[in-house]
Amino acid sequence: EINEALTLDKYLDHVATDLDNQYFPLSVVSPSELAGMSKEDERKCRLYGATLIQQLGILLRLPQDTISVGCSIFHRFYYKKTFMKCDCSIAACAALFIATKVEEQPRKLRDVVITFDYVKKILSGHERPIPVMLYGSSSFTSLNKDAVSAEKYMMKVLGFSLKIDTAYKYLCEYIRILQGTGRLRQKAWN
Amino acid sequence: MEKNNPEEFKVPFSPLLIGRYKMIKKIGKGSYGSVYKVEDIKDRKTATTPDSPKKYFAVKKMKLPANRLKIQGIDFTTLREINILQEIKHENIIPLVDVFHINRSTFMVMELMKSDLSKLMFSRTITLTIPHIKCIMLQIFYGLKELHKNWIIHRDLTPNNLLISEDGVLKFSDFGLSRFFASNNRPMTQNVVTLHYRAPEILFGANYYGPQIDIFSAGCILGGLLLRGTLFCGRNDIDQMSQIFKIMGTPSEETWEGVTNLPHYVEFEETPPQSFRILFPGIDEDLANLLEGLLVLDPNKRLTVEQCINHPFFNKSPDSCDPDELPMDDIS
Repeated sequence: EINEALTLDKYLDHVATDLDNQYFPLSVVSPSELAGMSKEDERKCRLYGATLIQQLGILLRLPQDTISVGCSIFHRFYYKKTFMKCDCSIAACAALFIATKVEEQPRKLRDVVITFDYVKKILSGHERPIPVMLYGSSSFTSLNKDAVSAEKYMMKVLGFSLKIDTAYKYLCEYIRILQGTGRLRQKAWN
Repeated sequence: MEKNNPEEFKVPFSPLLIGRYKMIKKIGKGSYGSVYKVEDIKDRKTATTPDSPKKYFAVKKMKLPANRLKIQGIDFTTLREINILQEIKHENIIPLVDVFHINRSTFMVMELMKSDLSKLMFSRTITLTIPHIKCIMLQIFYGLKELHKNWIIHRDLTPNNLLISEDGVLKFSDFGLSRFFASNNRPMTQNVVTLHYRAPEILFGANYYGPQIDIFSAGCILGGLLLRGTLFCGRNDIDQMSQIFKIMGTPSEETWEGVTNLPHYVEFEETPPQSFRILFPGIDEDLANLLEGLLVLDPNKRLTVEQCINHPFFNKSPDSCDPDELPMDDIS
């Protein structure tokens, strides 16, 4: 069944998508590595960012393909800039916020920022119960400002090219057409 | 985040944008923001001769929401427009040259165009002949074909958004309302398209519509070109509908399947459809046929872009003229 789903792609030839520059070759050395960061550390940073995005996406009730676009934006950004100079967590927040807009699943900046703060506290092992950031408080305002400037900066670095076609989008669509079960979707996804 | 953006400074009071574009004057204004004419001065210092031709562009400055609390980072419609323009490269779609962001507002650099279709349409001094109309309509259809092929609906097709270059090439602009229509089943808003060019299914509040709404707008433009005015000029939604039905006839279950189930459906006094040959005396049968095909009320019966391009009207003599033969001299 999975094989069948993959061959369907041929029928979508007329859909013009620019896949030429979509993925980086494996040989690319990331700027973090060039700046002297070890591979292991970089991997950890990327993992942390992606986890943050995933958790944030779940709490914001975003569909999984939007979350994966957010991850792609996050990873792309760190192929241009190093982890040492740009804060990884706020970049994750901005990446997901951009993804919500690109994928037409708009969420309010307020919601994204407050949830981001909540998730960050969970991941850092904050003592429960976790306090939720108050809307309009000074820490909220400063985090809001940071998120907006991070978004702006990310856009500039990525040159506003945000058209990301993840395979997941097509995968979900094919499974829907083939009326596959949830198990099939889970298997195909991983 | 790194906080070193030395290029950032106040706009539009500064004549220079990111050290590259020099503002000359404001050339347009709309709901989206304002448009400025700029000069590209990047190569000026390195140019060998001082008289090398100056490069001009149009810069669209996107408006910010009035309420500061409503600011949601970079505007979502702006991103949509950038996304679409970056993806599509076509002769009849306006090319995007550059995008940048200064002090919370986004700027889009685009090719500078001479005029737009509305000026040509409403000008009292220009005569439009059948070859001219064929040329304009064909260019609209080519642009639409490219958009629909990429699963995009323009959703705001009006003569104001169709720009004309010096050589008479028509280019689509203002994609702030456009969206992709493929494969997601989310309801769409009815608050799209300028009222006079709005398709009946949107007026009836349909939540799901397709590229056919662009075809209807194109039909209104063709009617406008023949009439040298607006074809359906309603003052409000209801008036607009009655104006459309006065010419096209009132819809019923027989002519438009499922019309009574649309959310805002209202019944109108029954009027039979009129012939376009009576409305526009002197047009030939094929043109009337095309116009009728574009303005059919039922979206499923409306012509597709392919059918429009291959319509017998365009194959008959007199042939369509070349774009540079369009009467462009009198408008600025």
